[in-house]
Amino acid sequence: MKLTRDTATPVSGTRFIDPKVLARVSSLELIAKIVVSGFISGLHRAPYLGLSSEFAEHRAYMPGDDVRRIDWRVFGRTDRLFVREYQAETNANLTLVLDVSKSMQFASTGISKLEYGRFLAASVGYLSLQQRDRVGLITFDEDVVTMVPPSVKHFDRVLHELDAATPARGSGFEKPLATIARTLGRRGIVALISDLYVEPKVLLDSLAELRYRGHDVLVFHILDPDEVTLPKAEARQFEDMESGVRIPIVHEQMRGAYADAVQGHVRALHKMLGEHRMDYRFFDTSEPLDHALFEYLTERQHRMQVR
Amino acid sequence: MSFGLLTPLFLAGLAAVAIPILVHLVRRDERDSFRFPSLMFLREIPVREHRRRSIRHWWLLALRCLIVALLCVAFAKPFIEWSTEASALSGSSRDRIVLLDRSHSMLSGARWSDAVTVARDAIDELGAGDRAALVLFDYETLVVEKLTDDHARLRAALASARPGDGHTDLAGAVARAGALLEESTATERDIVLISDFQRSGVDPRSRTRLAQGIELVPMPVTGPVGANAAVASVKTHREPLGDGDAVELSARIVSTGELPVADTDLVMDVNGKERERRTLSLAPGETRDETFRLVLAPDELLRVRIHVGEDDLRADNAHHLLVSGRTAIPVLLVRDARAGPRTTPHLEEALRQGGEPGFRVTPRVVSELRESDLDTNDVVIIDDAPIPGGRLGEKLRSYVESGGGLLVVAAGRTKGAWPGGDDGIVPGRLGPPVSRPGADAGRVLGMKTLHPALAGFAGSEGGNLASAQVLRYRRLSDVDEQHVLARYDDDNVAIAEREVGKGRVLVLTTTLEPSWNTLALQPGFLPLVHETLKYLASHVPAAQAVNVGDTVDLRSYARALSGFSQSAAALTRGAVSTLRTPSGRTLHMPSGEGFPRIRESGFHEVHVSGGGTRSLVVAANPLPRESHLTALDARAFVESIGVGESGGTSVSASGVRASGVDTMQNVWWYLVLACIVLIGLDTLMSNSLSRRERLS
Repeated sequence: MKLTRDTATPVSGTRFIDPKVLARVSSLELIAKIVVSGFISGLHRAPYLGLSSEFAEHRAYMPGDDVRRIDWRVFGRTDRLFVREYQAETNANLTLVLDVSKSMQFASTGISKLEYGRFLAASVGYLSLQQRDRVGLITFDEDVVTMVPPSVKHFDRVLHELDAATPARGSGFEKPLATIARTLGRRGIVALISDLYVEPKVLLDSLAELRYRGHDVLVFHILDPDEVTLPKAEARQFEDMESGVRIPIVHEQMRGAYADAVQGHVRALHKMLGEHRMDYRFFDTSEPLDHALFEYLTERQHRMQVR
Repeated sequence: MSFGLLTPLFLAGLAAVAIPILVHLVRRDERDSFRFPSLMFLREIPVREHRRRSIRHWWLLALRCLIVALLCVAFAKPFIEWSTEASALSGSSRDRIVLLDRSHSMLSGARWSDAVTVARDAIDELGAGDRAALVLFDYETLVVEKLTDDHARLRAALASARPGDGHTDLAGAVARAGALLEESTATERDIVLISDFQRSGVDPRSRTRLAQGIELVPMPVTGPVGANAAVASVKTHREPLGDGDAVELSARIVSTGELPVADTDLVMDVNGKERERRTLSLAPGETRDETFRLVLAPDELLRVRIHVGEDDLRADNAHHLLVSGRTAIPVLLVRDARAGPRTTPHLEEALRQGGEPGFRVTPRVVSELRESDLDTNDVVIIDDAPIPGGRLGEKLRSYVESGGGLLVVAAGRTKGAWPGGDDGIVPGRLGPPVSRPGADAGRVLGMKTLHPALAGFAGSEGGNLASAQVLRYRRLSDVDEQHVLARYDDDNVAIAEREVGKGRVLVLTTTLEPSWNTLALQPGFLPLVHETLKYLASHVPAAQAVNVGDTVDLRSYARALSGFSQSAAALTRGAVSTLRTPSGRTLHMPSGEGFPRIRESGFHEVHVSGGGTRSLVVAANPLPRESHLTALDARAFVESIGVGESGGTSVSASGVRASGVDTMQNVWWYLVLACIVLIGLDTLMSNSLSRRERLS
């Protein structure tokens, strides 16, 4: 898992948008359209965020069927062409779960993690809405702050709540995620957007209930570049934005150890979440959002096909 | 040159230098904390804190410490003093005024001998080229020796100096000495003020300033004050007794010393002979009134001296005064022959009841009036009679012009040419009588009570005359408003006045008898007549005694004193006079210079050539305040003397000084100014640093 920005262009000729430019656009909906349409325009087929459809049965190939649906393994065993039939093609519920704790306010690049998370949530929601999925929103810090049930018609409200989200308290995961798991009834996609200052084991335990209830959990981890490598501040002590606790800092002594600790944390999250079939994607706020999102969706689609 | 601090206690504030140091050590940690999203990973990293409490920005800290230190030093008020030794080495010169108090109080104890010793020392310490002046002062300043480098001459002049009977004027003396030094070009100029610094010798209203660079060095000579009794004042009260008067003299005796006055004699001498002797004792600060009685024959002049005991201050032991017969203003009362004897002679009775002065009335019928009658009277009253014309009229005019007073009571018989014709001496033109009978009776209103003749009626509209009814009066027209002293309620003139030469003419447009009005029946009638005549006669009360230091106008003095009209007349003509002082000195006064200044206490005799055989006598006493020996703080006095443009005083090792030291005290202003600049610099640099740190 790499934490540095990969500037390689996945789609030839596409220019990605600097998050600081996005921050100057006041409308979240417009931002979402810009981000999503930016990477869709270069593709023949839009990436699919929705649930992987469940296999129901094989049926004999008939002219006119999509050749990509032919099950070549069955053909190998039987020398006959069969295509896969899936059980449901119904629309999914996407619930965006955004961390609005105080630590999300941090910004060293002109855009805070909270703003980046807003753009990310709006873009994912917009993309999902384009696929006729229902979109909802839950914001949380120590507890659930606001909740917008998934709906095709509620996207304006989702955008409004995203826009109005204001950090006021510290963060917590166990209580709000447990609440969310109890609240969300129908199985769907849950996209958690947070800086994840939590032990991986604790996070995993908190998300276990959601996973147990059949939700497809996507975890988007957002960090500021200065959180990845210790900032070069003149100050002799750092103050925790949430608790106000101060500890002495000797930058030159701690920089290396800190970077290692963050790298280890990200690796642990990636590994543990992956092992439990949950998507994990790391975002750096200096990274173009459309680029990162495109990368993630491409990877996800590939994974779904493999599954 | 030496440095010093006026308020060195402020240096304790230097401890405040620790404040910026602590701020740099402690406060910066709080201010410089960096807000970070989470310390989750940082907590796990071990840190060595060896540099946490170190000070950054040493130069900023030094600047702040410097500001605090400069403020402390500024409030300690540093001054720079230039020593006299340095001036001597540089070849500079010195001019000194030895200002020696010779007032009467210097006779107390050993003050005078001490003062002379100090003055001699002040002369002796001068260098060979230094100059000095000897100036004696009491109420006036006498330059005995001008600035000279002949020190022997100064010492000789000092040896012959003696205290007098005068009172002290410290501020005036310092001002005069300062004026003497203003012309000096010497590099050092000082005034050595040797005095007992009597509190009574300083007028708190005086505003004396010395030129820049003149140093005032006070040398107080205040020894112990023993017993001192003084006759502070004598008041007289007289009652008519036969042809003469019975006079009661109330002498106030005060004890101004620090010791009691025991069994001392209080003696009254009359014309040089002891008349009465008493014994009295006084505690310190006690005041006692003692009464003596005398009988005075007409035209008698008694020289009375009331004296008590013997002590150092001999001049205030005695009080001298003249007790003379009552004075009377000679009045010529002119009436018409047809008027006949008055059945109700209110005017005559009013003149007879004159107090001090009285009135000596000479009645005349206008047809029998002679020119010589005018010479012996100070006031002429033409009471309801024709105005004399012709040669007599001219004489009347010249009489007024030379200082005589004329009262015209205008009524039915008043007619004829005014002396001098239309351009005469009477204000306005007399018209026919105006009748205001019965309920229409007029009232006297609008009196100018600021006028000396009507001052007694101040405080009420028309005073006591307002209730009088005026049934008839003569109209007086063409009167300048400035000449009108009172009007009737119909705006016609009641009283008018005009100054002619040295004399005055006053016209009353109704009678002084109750035929045309009821004025004579009012309580204000007597004062109206008395004050008007005193005003017209230019009467001045006789002085029983004057104070040492007073200037006496001999002509007025003689005129006010009973029995010296001949001397007054001679002095008016410009006679030569000679004054003989109590100590036997003689002062010749040329014609027209009869204004001697009295410098000794006692009886002074003045012989006026052509003024008869009797010598005019002037009694003089020291000013009573000179007997009060309470000294003021020399420092307070010097501080009250301004210096140059800025003023101010300071204390030096040699005593209290008022000199250019104040200018050098201005150092603290410069220090405060420097602090303000440094604070501004500190603010700029701190802001710049903060901005830079925020950006980084």
